[in-house]
Amino acid sequence: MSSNMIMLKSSDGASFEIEEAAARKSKIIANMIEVECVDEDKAIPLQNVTGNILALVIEYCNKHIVDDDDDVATEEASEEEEEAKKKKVDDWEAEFMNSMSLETMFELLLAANYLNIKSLIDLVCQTIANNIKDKTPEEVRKIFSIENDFTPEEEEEIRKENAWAFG
Amino acid sequence: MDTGSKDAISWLPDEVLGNILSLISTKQAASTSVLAKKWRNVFALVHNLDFDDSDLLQPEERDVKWESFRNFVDRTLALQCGSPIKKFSLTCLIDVESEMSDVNRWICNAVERGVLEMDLSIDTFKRHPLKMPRTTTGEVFLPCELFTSKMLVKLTLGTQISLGNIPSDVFLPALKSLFIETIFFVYEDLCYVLLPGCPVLEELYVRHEEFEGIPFCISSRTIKKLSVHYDCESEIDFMDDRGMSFDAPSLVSLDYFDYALAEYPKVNLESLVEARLDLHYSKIIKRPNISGLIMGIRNIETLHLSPASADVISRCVKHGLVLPVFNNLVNLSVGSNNKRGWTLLPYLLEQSPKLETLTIHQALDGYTGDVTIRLLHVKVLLHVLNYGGTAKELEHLKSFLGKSQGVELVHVEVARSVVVDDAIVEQIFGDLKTLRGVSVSPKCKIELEYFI
Repeated sequence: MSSNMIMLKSSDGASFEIEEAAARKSKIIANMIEVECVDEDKAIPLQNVTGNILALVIEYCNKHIVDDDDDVATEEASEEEEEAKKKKVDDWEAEFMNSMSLETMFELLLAANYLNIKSLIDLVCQTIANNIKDKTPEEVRKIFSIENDFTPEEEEEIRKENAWAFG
Repeated sequence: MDTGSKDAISWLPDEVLGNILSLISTKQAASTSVLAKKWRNVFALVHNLDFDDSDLLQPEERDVKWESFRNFVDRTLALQCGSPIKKFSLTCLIDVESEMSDVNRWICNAVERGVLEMDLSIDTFKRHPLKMPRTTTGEVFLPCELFTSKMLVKLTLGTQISLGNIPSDVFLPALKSLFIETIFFVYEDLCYVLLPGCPVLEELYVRHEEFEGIPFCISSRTIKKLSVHYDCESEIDFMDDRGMSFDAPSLVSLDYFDYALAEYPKVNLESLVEARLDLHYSKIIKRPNISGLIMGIRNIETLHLSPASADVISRCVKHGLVLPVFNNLVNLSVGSNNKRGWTLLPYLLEQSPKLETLTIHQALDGYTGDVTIRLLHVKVLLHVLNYGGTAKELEHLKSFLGKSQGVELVHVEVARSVVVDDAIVEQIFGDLKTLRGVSVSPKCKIELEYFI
């Protein structure tokens, strides 16, 4: 099966070639392809995504395109094979998320949100949620560099408002 | 982790923050309200709600805490206005007389907002003067709105409660998965009221543990996947020998854990492909009659029998049970802890003319050498799991195989408890090769799988 290649252009002018099937992970791009507003020799401009982030998005899409294609074939695959495969993807995703700073992670999340790539949104959200889970508000502030702009009295007031959550 | 210099998280779009906080419990999400002013009500953007207040405390303490819990839930729901929610999960211990109205108000709120997934785990207690609150069987009347939700896709109900009479107009047109954890159904409400009201149900899970009122009939035209797990030996006595019936013509996969009952009056499982049976022998039912069940599953392709099941079926065979021919059975997985169980195997293999893979999932420890399977005609891949690699086990394996010329592949998985090094792998592999030309044909492939 020969696959169509399409071009994506980042906000800072970098061009990327990507298989159509991988690009279709983005609902926005998939829609553009559907309504045929993709010119064959012209790159799709993505004003809200910088080159370094777009490279990550493409890395993710390329990694996941195979999995979706295999859906038909996996019906025959045994449970163990499926499990092994899932573990491989999970490991890759963990490594992928581990390799980036929080700042990059937020930019990636905004890009995934803009491009509407649901599985990538879920992955990044889960990684951020894991950083909030089982942490005190003080720890969360520190991790995400959130400045506390409450006075101690105001903070006490909020704690009372949701008393059960702080019990 | 890099902490980043600017507070980027606070500037994520609302829907994205809602997504993130939906992945943690609502209690944890609400603790972000003190981070900074911008965060005060961000937690209300969540589309999954997960409230858990299940601690059993001293009466005075509990009342204060319940008050605080009630305020929190009410406040959170009010902050959300009517925004749609995906999942609502509530775990609590309530005084059924005075606090059920709170619970029902919350359930109705979630249903009104088109909740897709509802998980209710409600325990009840009755107040007793001067004593600690005790969990008791409470009758819980859930609001009828819950039973007529057009949106609900997945519903979990628990635990150790009675639902009272389920409204007869129950209609859950979108419900695909139903999980029932130890619920007392009045009369046969599960089979004749609740299930008929679920026209597209695909997955049903019924668990019943040490509690009265076991549903003894599962009937659905649409379910494909069923798991029944009954663990209440003390209740068998009260079942009046009614036994258990399955009427599920679309069912593909069955997972059944129970004591072998006196009777299986109706078993209609004509589409069944796969079954996992874990039947146990109970002294209360000295002569179980499982022939209805076994006949009902005779067209399956894959059968998994636990050691207890092998034992129970073997007992029944001894008392006259005739096994049908399993014409479609391709994969059989079996284990046994005693001689009685192993005795079943040759008979079972005889009745399985199309068998391709036999998996022995129990160490051959309990095997006594009296049973030989002799896989002569069927071409079978034999999998042995949990192999310890001892000389005794090898002898057992040899004796077990007899002269099984039909076996094309012996795949042995070394038990995880065995510490593997090169020498041991070499030794086990060498041992297994001695089966060739003796127990199996010289061309038989031998595979060894181990964990490091």
